[in-house]
Amino acid sequence: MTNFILRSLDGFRWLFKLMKVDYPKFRALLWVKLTVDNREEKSVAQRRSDREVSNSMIWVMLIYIFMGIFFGGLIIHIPSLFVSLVFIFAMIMVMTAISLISDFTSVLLDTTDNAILQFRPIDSRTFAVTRIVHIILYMLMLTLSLSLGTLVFGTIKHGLLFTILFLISLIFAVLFIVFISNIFYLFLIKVSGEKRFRDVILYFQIFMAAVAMGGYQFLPRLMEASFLKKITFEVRWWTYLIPPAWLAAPVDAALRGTMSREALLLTVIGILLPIVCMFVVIRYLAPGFNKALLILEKAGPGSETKIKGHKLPLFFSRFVASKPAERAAFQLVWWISGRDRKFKLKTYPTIGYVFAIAAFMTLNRKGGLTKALLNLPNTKSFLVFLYFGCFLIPMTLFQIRLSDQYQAAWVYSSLPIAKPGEIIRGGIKTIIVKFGGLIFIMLSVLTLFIWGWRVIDDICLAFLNMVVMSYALAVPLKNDLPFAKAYGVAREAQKGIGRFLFLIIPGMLGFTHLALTFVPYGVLLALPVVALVIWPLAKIIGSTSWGSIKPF
Amino acid sequence: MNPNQPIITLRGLKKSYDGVDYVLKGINLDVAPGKVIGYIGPNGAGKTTTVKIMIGMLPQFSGEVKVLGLDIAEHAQDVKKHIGYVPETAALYDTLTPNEYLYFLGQIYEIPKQEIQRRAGDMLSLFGLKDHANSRMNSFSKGMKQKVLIIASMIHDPDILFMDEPLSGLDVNMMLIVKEILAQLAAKGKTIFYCSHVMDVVERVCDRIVIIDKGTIIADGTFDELQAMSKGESLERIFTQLTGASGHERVAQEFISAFKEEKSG
Repeated sequence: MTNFILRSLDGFRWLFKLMKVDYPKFRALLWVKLTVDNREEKSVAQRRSDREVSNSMIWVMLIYIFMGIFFGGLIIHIPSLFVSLVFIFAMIMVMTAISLISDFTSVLLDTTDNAILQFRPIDSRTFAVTRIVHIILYMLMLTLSLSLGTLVFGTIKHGLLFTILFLISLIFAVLFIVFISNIFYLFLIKVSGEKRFRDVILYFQIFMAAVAMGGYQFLPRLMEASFLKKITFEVRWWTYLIPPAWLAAPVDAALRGTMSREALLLTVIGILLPIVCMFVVIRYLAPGFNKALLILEKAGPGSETKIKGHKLPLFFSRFVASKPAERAAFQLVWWISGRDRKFKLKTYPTIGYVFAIAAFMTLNRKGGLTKALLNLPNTKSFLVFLYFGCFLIPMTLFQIRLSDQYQAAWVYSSLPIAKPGEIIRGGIKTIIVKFGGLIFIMLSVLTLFIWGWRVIDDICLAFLNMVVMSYALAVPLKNDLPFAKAYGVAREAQKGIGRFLFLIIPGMLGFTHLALTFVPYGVLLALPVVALVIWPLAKIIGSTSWGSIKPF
Repeated sequence: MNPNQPIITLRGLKKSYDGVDYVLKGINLDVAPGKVIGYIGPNGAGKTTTVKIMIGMLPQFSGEVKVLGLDIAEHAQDVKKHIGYVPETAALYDTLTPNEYLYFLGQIYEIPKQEIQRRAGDMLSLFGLKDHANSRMNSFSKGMKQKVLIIASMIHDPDILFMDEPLSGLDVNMMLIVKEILAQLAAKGKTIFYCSHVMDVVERVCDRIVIIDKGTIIADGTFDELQAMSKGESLERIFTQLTGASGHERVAQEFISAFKEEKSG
């Protein structure tokens, strides 16, 4: 596979030369990256030889293919090819963007091999391009799986010309997303000072996530329902602002055999913009890339940051954790989760998604924003509020298992701990308190303020549900100690599916809760039932023995 | 290079990570080609920081740094082609085999394939790694990885070799071999910049010893010069005298007494 990719890239050697990339070095670097990915993946599989998982990347792709079949059906359902393609490209581009922001930014800004590469004669441009191409390869795999459904349906309906045009547009879609986001990241590196960049990037992640998710929520509202039934699509001024339209236009026009002035303009934007972005990135922004990576690396010995206020985790741990090992783990996870750059880089974007989704769900009512706000107390939107506090939990549950300093986990096995399950449970409790509870308290205050005391039972149930959900989701992950596993590129993608699946669960809980509100005393009766489930779940996790912990 | 001209020049080198505390407070140093320089100092003195600046891994600093006659701030790429570095931490892609890793580096340094394979084969078998040349390094011991790191730092025949604690994890035989290699490289006109804590190695290997403490150079000269200066016998004694670390016994005693439980309360 690696050889195949490299051979294919050899065909574009001239293009890399044109961009002043040192091709032999680029090729050598990419070879290392792909080989390392491949072997890490394999060694993980070997270690879990007792399980059937052999290649997780294939699983990711299968799930993406499955998801792709659903929206691929749009091409048959919606009469206008243009409109259906806009929706499909929007779907693909948003999924790609989300995956890029939450999983692959850390690949772009990875500093772990600084100590191997940064003193070698590799120019900044070659370095940046290697990273970007590496990311693009993974993005292409994901988008191809996502669009397989569309390809099959489209080819059946429109013939082979569609296949070719769609694939070309797809490549441009990936290029556009990767390069436009790189423009932002690299520009940010340029403008923010060296010390601030580390913090700025985190807030920017949240912002990007909100934009991607918000844009996706916004699109169907632009496309009024009437468009869905019409064959022709009227191009308005704002159509030029929708990236999926740029890519849908040429496919649509070529298949219909007529190229209107508007379609031509859209096509030109769609082809030119990725190329311009690529040019800007490689020509103007990439030269500062090496320097940025060196800055991002852990702070030097002279820049010790004095930590103040460790009181909070100590305070909480006294209430929620009884066993000493559990209490220690609670504090450890609390501290590390607040300081580890990679952990923050990966969990913070979720805040952006959640914010965008919640805003649309509560305020998306007919009759404008003010009316929606005034009408809020009469709705059951508080459930959205309450449950969107849970959305951070699945992501963080995944993340606390991983760390660049996973080797430090030897310390667990050297300590006189009878049940490692207590450590794991301590970590889960941190998540419940820090990433669920604190947000939950804020949200429930807001809820009480808007809806009044009559929803107090709902607040209690939502809280218990959150705790149950955290434990329940943690059960399949209970064989990993906190921060004891290495990150790996392929595994980043694997987590992507976890994220999508897990995002559904808080939503499902919310809907169950909504259903209960229609049953008389439903919520009140559910309270003790849910409360009783917590104890056995906590017991299961806490009793994890050394035998079932995966070796480091 | 002109043998009379210094191969490394540091002028007023200052480095601060946070703009307040300076890790390096104005280092001035000239290194002549073909010499082995021992750069020693207590923990946190700024040794690794100095090296990282000279090899272009820390782009922000003030002062002038010239390596191979080139300003590192502007010509980092050209300098990097002609230097080798053994980092303090065993950083390598350990899922690769030594052969693969060295071949990869050969491509980065633009060495022809045949040449790199020959060099890698020779060097690996001289270091006793012939049988492991095609096994993944994640199964290697610390010493074996260290051997690969040392080979990797020399594979492109650099003019200057920066070594940060290069002998850690090596057995006595291996240490002797590496020391001899360094001596012979110096005889061939290569310059070696050697950072270490292990005094007796520095004492025997280095032509010149530079002691750094709290970001400033506090002593500079041959071993004999340093000996004459501070009337000490071994380098270890000179070191402790100069860096002001005295009363080791007292510290040790207090360390032990830390186990005593507090009586009050």
